[in-house]
Amino acid sequence: MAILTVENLRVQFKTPYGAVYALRGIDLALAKGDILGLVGETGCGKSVTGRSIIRLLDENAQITDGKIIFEDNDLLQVDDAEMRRIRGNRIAMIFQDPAAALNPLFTIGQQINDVLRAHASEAREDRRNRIVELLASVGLPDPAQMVDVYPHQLSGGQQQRAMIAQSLAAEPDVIIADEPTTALDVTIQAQILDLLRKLQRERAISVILITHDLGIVAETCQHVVVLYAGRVVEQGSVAAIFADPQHPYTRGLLAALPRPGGRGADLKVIPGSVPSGLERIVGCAFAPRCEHVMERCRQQQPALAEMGSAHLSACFLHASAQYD
Amino acid sequence: MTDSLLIVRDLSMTFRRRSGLFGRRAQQINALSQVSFAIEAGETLGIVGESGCGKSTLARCLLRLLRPTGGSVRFDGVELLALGDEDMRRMRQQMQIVLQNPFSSLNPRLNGFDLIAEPLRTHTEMSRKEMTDRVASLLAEVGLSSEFMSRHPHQLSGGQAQRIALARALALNPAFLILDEPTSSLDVSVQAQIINLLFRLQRQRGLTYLFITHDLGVIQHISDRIAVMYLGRIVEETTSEEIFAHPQHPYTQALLSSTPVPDPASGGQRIILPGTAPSAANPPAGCAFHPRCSQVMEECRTLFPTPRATAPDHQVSCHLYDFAQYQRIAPTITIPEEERQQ
Amino acid sequence: MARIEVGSSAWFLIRDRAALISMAFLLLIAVSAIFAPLLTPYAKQGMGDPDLTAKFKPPSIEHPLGADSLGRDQVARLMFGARRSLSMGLLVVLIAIAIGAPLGMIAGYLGGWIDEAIMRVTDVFLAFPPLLLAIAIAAALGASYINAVMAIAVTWWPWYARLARAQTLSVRERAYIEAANSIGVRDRVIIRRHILPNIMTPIIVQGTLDVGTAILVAAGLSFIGLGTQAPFADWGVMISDGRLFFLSGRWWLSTFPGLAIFLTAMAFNFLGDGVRVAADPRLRRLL
Repeated sequence: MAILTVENLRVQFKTPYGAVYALRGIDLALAKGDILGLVGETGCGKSVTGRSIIRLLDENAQITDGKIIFEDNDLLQVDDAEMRRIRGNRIAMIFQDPAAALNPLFTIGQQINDVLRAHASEAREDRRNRIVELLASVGLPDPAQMVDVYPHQLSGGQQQRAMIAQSLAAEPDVIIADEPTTALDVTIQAQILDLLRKLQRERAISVILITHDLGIVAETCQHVVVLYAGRVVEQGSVAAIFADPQHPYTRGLLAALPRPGGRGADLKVIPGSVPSGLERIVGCAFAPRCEHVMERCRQQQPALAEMGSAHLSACFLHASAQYD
Repeated sequence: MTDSLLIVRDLSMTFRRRSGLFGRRAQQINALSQVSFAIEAGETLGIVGESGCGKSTLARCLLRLLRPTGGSVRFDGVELLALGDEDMRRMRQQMQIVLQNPFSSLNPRLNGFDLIAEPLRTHTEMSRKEMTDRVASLLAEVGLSSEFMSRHPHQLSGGQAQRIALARALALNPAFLILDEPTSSLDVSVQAQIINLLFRLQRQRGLTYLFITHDLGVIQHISDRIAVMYLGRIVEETTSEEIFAHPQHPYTQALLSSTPVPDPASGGQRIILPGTAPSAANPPAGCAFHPRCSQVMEECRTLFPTPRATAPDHQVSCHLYDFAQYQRIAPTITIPEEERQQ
Repeated sequence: MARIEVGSSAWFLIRDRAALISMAFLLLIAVSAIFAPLLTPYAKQGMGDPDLTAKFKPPSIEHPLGADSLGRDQVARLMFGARRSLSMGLLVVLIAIAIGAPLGMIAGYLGGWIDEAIMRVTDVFLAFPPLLLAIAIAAALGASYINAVMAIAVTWWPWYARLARAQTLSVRERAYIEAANSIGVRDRVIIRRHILPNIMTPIIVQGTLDVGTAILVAAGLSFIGLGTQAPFADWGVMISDGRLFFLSGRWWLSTFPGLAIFLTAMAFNFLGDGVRVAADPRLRRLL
């Protein structure tokens, strides 16, 4: 059962250089209690998708089409007051750089208290206990002391834990985590990913995990959506996609990763680089870099086609492929 | 071992920071402590470690962009730390560095030609014509057309910019390249292009690399030997195959196990290290890793372990291997549960 | 004409209406100053020749802005005065930058005792009230156009030294400076090729803003007789000459040069603001 569905989401940015087409029709569904990986390279639109869901896009962005359905409501239609209630209470966001997302002038306790005060009606002392509880639940050492600590007194990993504690304060149903470990060391990354898995397991929180790291997807997510140039090129269960990738782009990405045992051998390369978003893309956006490119790919845009149970891929190589 | 291109012995770097009124309180930060290793000509040594382990300081000390406070760096038989500034300046033709983010390491106001020609202008007396030819051939070598001479960094993609940075580093035909996280700001598909290029250049030019990264996937792909750093020291050093097959130091084991593998079927038990790396300004006594180590013993808290060989060509600094001599000991020492909860 | 790239700083500058109007106004002033002999029938009067038949003529078709105590056409006087006023403003700023920017870059890049020494000298200069110091220097050097320029520039360079030093300190930390060092590029080449181009923008912005102020200060020195000397005139001299007759109803003598100074200073301010916004991507969306 999907808790959040995105349908045909289109977003463009107005820039001095012209319109940048960031999302060109995104469809995805987040199942309840699932960790969904949103993966792709720079500029594929993964962060824009996350920010569109909670309607926190830059002011030059424009959502031109689509629906974001959360519990029978289209989030793109609700008014600002309702959206504020949903954002925080029901859907929380965790950012890449916790140092920038936490206010340096307030203690961790004060910042979590703000969320509690806005979303729950407990007495003051109860709130303090609740904050300590939250800090303990994300694995911060000495949670009782952490309440009165300022963000700069924490390490990067601890700041990210504090961010997660803050996002949990209102007991959201969905967490959108935008590259939550990119700024952290591997050993700390392992701790944070472990924490996310624990939250999903114990609190049945549904998570959208935005990342560029296929390793993180493989270890953390149940489902994955692969984005390229603002469109979904492949989606399905992690097991299916890593075992049997269908889209040439997904295959290319997986083959480009250095793997144990392959030392010194040439890595498989996807030639060229991602399109800028400024040009109007005709046909399949991946066509200029694709080794299997056909005449049709340059004229028509392939739609997602069923590749097996809950495994979709958008490529004309597949027999059942239709154009969009 | 006599023909090692680079021999580093007991290299130390201590930053002194004065604080307090009139700088009366001096703080010492040991960014590097007794780092020793050697790189054979044509070989790649990978240095792996997390932020603050001193790997970037090491790179800067080798090039003498920072002045080490102790030890010795012999490059091609020449002691770099004894060279005068002018001799060192000339020596830099032989050893070059490629930095992590090309968009910050390339001056945004210069175009491709000026960027690549800068080392030629600095160290040679080429005519404009010779220089143009040389820049064109360097561009071709890194897989770019001559058009890129007139492009500025903001007109380049990340991969193209890193290729320009590489061409610039190669301009004077150096024997030795330090690569400081050269692919970590790049997308996966572009990272593969750059790694392949680095291999090709190494084969064609017989280059020697020091490759610094936090990415184990990349480092094991490119390195012949690997040294693992933790808080300013090398804690384990051996061949690339050996370190992935038989990691000995508990930190190396945790590091390997923490790295996400793009294979959902591989999901084994992970070692998740508690806590964070301590600050170099205030390192713990004994082995710097002991507060996070699951196999900590009494002596770890007081004594720093000396490097031991647990196999030929495999050095580890860990008390678990104090009595090891050319044999692998599986670290199976049992310790009380409460001590493990550090 | 060079093509202006969409999204470049120049492109943003011409989209800023206030900056565009200011540029047009300053261009008009500059053209009428440079081509003054061709544009007015009273060129001789502009350079000081009297015409006693027209003494104190109020604005008319013949003399649109009136004539002064020696019968000289005010339009011609203003056009020739613009040569001095504009050039004084520009020269002051250029000399101040020429002294201040290199010292600031050297202080910022090399640091240590050199930095200390240069910065203490700027402190000494900045401890005096600038106008008073300029008056003292101009008086000591002797009253003349060029001495006035030198006097003001000497009070002004420490601001540029400080600005250049602050900018250098931040540019010095960029990775491309380290990259240049790792190649073995010499310090003076690093300063010239890598630091100078990257600190020029804020200095140009400050310079543009300062030209207006420099014109004002130069007019002030001329007003008290320490600047341009008769028979030549700048706008400050014209105000000074006209002020004696203001109360006797010859309002046009001081008003028009005053207006010229006011508008020019304002135009340089708008232009400077425009350059600042256009050069800084973070401010661009204010447009």
